[in-house]
Amino acid sequence: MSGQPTDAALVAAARSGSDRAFSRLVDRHQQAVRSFLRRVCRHEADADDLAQETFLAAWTSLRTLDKPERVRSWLFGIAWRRAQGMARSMSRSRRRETDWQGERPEHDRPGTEMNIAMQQALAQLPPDQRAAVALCLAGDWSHADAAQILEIPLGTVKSHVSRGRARLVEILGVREDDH
Amino acid sequence: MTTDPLKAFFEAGEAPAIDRPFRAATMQRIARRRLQFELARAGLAGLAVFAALLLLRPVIIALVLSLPASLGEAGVVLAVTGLAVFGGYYLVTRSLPLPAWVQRLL
Repeated sequence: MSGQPTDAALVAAARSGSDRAFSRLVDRHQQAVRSFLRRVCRHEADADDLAQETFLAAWTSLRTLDKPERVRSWLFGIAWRRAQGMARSMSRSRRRETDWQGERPEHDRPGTEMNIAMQQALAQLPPDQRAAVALCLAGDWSHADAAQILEIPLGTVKSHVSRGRARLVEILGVREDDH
Repeated sequence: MTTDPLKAFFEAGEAPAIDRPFRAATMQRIARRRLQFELARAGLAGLAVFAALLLLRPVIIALVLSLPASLGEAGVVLAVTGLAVFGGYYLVTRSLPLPAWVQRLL
């Protein structure tokens, strides 16, 4: 456990030019960032492309990060702003750099019935609500952290999560006592 | 212990914990961005040197004209100017690897 460098140490190394340190940050946070974006965006390829843009933007502005130990929430903030930007310009070119996806093992590609059902259910929520649900219910972020990432008031996050959850339960037809 | 019934649905859509192609593609984009930055910086440095030479042109011409006919002295002036230009270039674009022979000179 002590062998793993902290996020702050990796950020410091990446700031001084270490690509290795930055690639470890990518490894460490890619799953959380991509999972969040997959829930927020409608298309998986868009989400993964946005995730790459998020890391690229993070690399470019790494020096502006005030609290290196909170790099994950900083990345989520960038990811959310990028996702909003993409939603606003849906008519833009759909060209994506997706060649790398052909190299991925088949079992990594989501496509299970549960995933499809969840994607369809999430698509019925307004974007802010979807993001709040993705952070607090799927991602285990606190309401306060989610408010900071999404840049909306705490009360709004709580309301989004509560309403979003109720809506998802209704759409997916799950019972509260299901395990 | 209560489990959120939505948890299983969310877990079905998780991205893989380890994804080397994703990491490689991300780092490739970063390398491309870095190259763009460095090219832009080198271009600016080149422009700065060009502008400096343009501004100093009258002085340089006057110097050259006032030089004695001796080629040896002119050679010395050219060598010093060349070194100054390379030195300036190196200072402005320190992140760009210069050719080995230039690095040896500097």
